[in-house]
Amino acid sequence: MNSFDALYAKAKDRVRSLSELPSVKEESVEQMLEARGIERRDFMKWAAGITAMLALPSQFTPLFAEAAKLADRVPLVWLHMAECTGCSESLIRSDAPTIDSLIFDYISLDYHETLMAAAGWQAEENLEHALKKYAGRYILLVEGGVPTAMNGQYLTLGPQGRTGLTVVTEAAKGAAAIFSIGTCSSFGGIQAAAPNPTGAKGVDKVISQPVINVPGCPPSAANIVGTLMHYLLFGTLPALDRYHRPKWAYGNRIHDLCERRGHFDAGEFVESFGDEGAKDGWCLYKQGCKGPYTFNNCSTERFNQHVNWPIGAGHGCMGCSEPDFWDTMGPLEQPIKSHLVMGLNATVDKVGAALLTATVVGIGAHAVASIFMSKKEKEENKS
Amino acid sequence: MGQEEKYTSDHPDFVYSVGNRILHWTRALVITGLIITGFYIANPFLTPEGSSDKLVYGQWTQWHLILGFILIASGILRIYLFFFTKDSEGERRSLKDVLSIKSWITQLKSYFFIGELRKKGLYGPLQFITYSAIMILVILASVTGLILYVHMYHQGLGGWLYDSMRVVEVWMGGLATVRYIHHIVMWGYLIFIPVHIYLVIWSAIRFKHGAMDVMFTGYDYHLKKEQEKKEDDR
Repeated sequence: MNSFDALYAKAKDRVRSLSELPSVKEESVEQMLEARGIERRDFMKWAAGITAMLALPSQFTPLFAEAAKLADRVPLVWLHMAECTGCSESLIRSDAPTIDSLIFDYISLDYHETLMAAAGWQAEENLEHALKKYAGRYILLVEGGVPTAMNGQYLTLGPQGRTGLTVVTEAAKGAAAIFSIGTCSSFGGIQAAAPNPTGAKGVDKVISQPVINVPGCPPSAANIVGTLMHYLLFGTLPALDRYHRPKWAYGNRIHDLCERRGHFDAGEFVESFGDEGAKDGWCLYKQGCKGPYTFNNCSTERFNQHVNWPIGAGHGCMGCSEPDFWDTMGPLEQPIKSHLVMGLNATVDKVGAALLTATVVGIGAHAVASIFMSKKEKEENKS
Repeated sequence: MGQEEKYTSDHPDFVYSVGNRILHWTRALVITGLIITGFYIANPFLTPEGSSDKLVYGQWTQWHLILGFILIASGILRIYLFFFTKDSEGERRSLKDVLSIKSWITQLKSYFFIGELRKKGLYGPLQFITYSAIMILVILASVTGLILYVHMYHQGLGGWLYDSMRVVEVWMGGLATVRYIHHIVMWGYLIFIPVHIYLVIWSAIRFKHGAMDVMFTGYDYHLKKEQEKKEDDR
């Protein structure tokens, strides 16, 4: 069997085993979509789009559509740690309810602190219930970094005041798959920036199970749903890069497929925001664009229904999907020339230039001393 | 003990083999070129007028890459020559000086005009450590440069090295940090170059032997030794 057939058979098997599972909802995904005014035609177009985004051949589209309809067989538990809920917002705030968000809202209701109606003891009970009922079956999605300093006391949740650390560790035990949604849960994010007083860490650093990272601040809805759908279709982890990010989304740099790349190679740069170059859409490298060091698919996928993205709007990339981006990428609007050294108000080039000046002064002093020494020695030799 | 210490190689006449000399000047030229093109890449100071079909930045990058690969090749060759050829024996012998505290004191004193610079090998200990550090900087610049390179060219050599380079990239803490290290290494060279040139000339005047010409001819001469010899003959 060639690799295509093998992959196809694998996905088919997976869809069959999914269809045998009981649905966790009363209404099927199809009924739900129809009730919300999504025609089958739109649904198939969406399925074809996601299939292409996952770099799968178009023959997978019907299979994928099947899998998406069976999305209600996989319960989701979404936890919030130290974060801003921006990742949830990225998914649910669209100009109109998209198929992504509809399916997601529909299936994620098992436990999502932002979306669910329950609060307090009731919420706590829902979580316990979900973890018990779907043990070994549910997908755990975590948003936000996990503070670890002081036994995780920097983050406590719910009426029992449990630490984020305990909640994540417990929820991870029975999970079929764990996804870190956003830079905070992937790498610690902004609260993990130096000196990181709360000891915030990515989820994969505090639990022992394998984790798929979907970083970004926020990651685009397509990357979140795509990762979820890939798991739905195959039941296995996608091809991951060194930072455990799915390769289909984080395989290339922003820079590789940037719409302004031509201006970069031509040496046409925006010299200051609002100048002629900026009006002509020139490269933002000299305005501190971090696209050359950032792995993500923003340049092709964009945000908000593919409407636009930061570079398209005239500001450089800030490298938000990279580990430690707050420390390694700053200052955000200047290139490396102004990279701060160890928090002091000095840059590499300033320190370098100062050392070079000191060197030249040292050489000069030594040379002058040499002249006097040789005079002195000559006199001594004479006498 | 009273007995004067014997120096196996007090003022050698033959210093550098042809290979070592050619590689030295290759490095000198290539590193100079890399620093200039590298500064442009870090912060492009020239921009073209009008047309996007003159790939100004692309061409600067191209030259940086060409010079970079020459540096890598010359670096590998130089390391080989250091360890495995007879001509580099004088250099290898300098290791003995590095391990001797006395040699360190002798060299440091000689820089402050106290006494001669006597050593067992070709280099004083401080000199040897500095040159080794420069070689380590060459390796560091080459590795970080290759990491940056594989993200530009995904085929051929870039594709072949891609996976292994990404491992190193993660060790170093991400692509932004890799580039930062690359930049700091450049400052290492930039500070080394004036010190190096100055000390070559200074020690030639102070200790009366060959200066830059040694790196062209391979042979050193010793005015003082000849002078002493004449005095002894008399």
